[in-house]
Amino acid sequence: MPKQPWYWWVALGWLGILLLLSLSAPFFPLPYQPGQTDVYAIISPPGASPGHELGTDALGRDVLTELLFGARTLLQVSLPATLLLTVVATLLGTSAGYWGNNRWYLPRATGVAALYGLVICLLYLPLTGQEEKVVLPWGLWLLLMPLLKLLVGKTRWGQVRKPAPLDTWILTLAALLSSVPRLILLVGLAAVLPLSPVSAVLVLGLLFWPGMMRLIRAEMRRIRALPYIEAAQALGLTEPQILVRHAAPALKGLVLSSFLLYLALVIALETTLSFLGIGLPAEHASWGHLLAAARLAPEAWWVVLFPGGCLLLTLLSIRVLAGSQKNKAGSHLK
Amino acid sequence: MARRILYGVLRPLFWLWLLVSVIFLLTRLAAPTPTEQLGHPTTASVASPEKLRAAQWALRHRLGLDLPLFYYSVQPHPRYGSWIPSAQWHGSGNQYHQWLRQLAAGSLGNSYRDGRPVTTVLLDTVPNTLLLTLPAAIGTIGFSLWAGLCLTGRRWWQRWVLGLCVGLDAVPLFLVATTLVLVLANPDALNLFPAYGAPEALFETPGLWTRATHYMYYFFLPISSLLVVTVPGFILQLTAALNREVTMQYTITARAKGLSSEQVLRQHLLRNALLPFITLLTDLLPALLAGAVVVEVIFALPGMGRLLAEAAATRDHPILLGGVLLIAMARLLSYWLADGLYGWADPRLRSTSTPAHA
Repeated sequence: MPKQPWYWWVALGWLGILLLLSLSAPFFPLPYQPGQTDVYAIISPPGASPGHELGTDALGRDVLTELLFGARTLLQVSLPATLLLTVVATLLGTSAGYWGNNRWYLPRATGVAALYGLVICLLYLPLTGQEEKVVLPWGLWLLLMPLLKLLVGKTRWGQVRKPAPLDTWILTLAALLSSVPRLILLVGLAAVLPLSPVSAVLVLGLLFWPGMMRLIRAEMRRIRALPYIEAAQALGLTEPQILVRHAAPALKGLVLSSFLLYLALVIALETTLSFLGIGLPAEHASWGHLLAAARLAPEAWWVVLFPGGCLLLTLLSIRVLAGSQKNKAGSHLK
Repeated sequence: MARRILYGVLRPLFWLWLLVSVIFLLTRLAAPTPTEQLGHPTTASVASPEKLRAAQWALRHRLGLDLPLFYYSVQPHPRYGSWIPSAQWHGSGNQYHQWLRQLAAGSLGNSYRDGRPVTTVLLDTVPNTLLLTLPAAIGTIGFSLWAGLCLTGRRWWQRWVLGLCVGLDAVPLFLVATTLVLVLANPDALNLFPAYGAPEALFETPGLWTRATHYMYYFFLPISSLLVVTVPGFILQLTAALNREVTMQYTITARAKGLSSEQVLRQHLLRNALLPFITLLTDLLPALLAGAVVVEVIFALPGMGRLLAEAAATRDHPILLGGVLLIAMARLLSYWLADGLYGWADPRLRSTSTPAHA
């Protein structure tokens, strides 16, 4: 491991402290709960009233409590969302990059079965809102897919293998998702389904993979053309072996550094949404909620300084780690 | 060539249609309609159930919500339940078809909140947003070009400015805007600028000078917070590209011919360094529009961004759909603009068959 500059250690230390504090937040002897308002101490400066070490905001919420539980929100929402996003982007990016448009051969029987599954899903999706149980019959109908594939696979027509344009499909989906700016898409979606911690993870994870997918796809295309992959193919290794044992180690650095970059992005997005009042519900602590309260009392510098400083330090620390990771990956390639 | 242009125009339009359709269906499927809001306890207590039901039906009919949602609908089979779903075909008498036909005729429906046509509401707010985003866009491009050109060749300055840019690039917009408000528009700190809003009669004051100073007074903070967020990324990209070009052989040739370093920079390096810059440019307009949401909410400017945020909070779906459509179209426009710019900056790209952003 190369020697890291001093600010790398500061960044790592800050993130470590944040992780420890957010994990142990429920065990601290805090006199107030997140979201709890203390009407006797509104906008009280740090240390002025007992129990409020970092003061209170314009709604009487304890700043220290909100800070600690807001850090927990990062751990509960932003981190899982980024993990989900990374998994989706890596899967789609590597498959689009490795198989491209004409290397993934499938028998027609599989296509027929997939088409059948699509029709079943189109029929059952509108039914989900209604009273009756739909999941069981839906699943049973879908279970017929392998049977269909087997039956069609018996015929000569069904055995013909055709390339599936995987690359085009994935790129089209990505273009569809990125045709509207992220924040606008989220604002639009927030009106349809109110965000809870669980749905926020799903929405953030399933909608924002296109950017990272493009990076990984480009890298995978580059790796696929390298001689050692060709050698592995010539040796007769199976595709899972090539992907896992030979391509994945080369992709690891890029995935890690873009994971960190997207973590910073998702944290910024989550706090922005909470700040605008359309993100997580108000009783769920978030640094964005605290910063929104700062607008109500311009003289309360402590309501801005503490959450704003924490947010800034966290984002900068993640950037620093991502930057050093990228440098490492770059030097490794040379 | 004609085929390429057709491809470049039609494909993004197709995506746009698909996206807006999905959002339309989602909003109509998942969200409570205004008819359910009629059933609130406050209204329910004054009206009898029959009257309430009649009012709900009338409202549904007026908004066209009594039609089936899509071309087909699925019900559970009357005898076998959901084991055999039975699909029904509705033809063109459905909400989606009506909405699409309206859209083709240039109408986006009426706002759920005040019943005004969506197009009017949007047209009222768009100029305010443009007053904010266009100067911000021009400022971003101008400032980052100037800074990039200044920084090449100045090692000492570059180190510090680029470090600052990396730091600023990580800060979310709402934090920048809040800090600016609390430092520069705060009676307890520096009270230089207004914290809230722009007056209605901003452009009715006589005299160009007063109007300009008024505009600066009310829009300085919003525009600078947008600039603080967008400029660092541009400077980083441009200086990286310029630093790469400096090491190229043609630069040495140009210097050896006797050109001044200024001439080499402006006439030889810049054009080659502009390609990645243009790629960033495609994202600038959408990013500014998204940023306008945050900035307009914070500074209480009556623009499209605040309209969208309010529509999201009050579930005013027609407004929301119209806004999303407009912003997606702005993004398309910037794609096409960037395609043209690519051709201008690098003639080799004019004959390629795929658009550069795909």
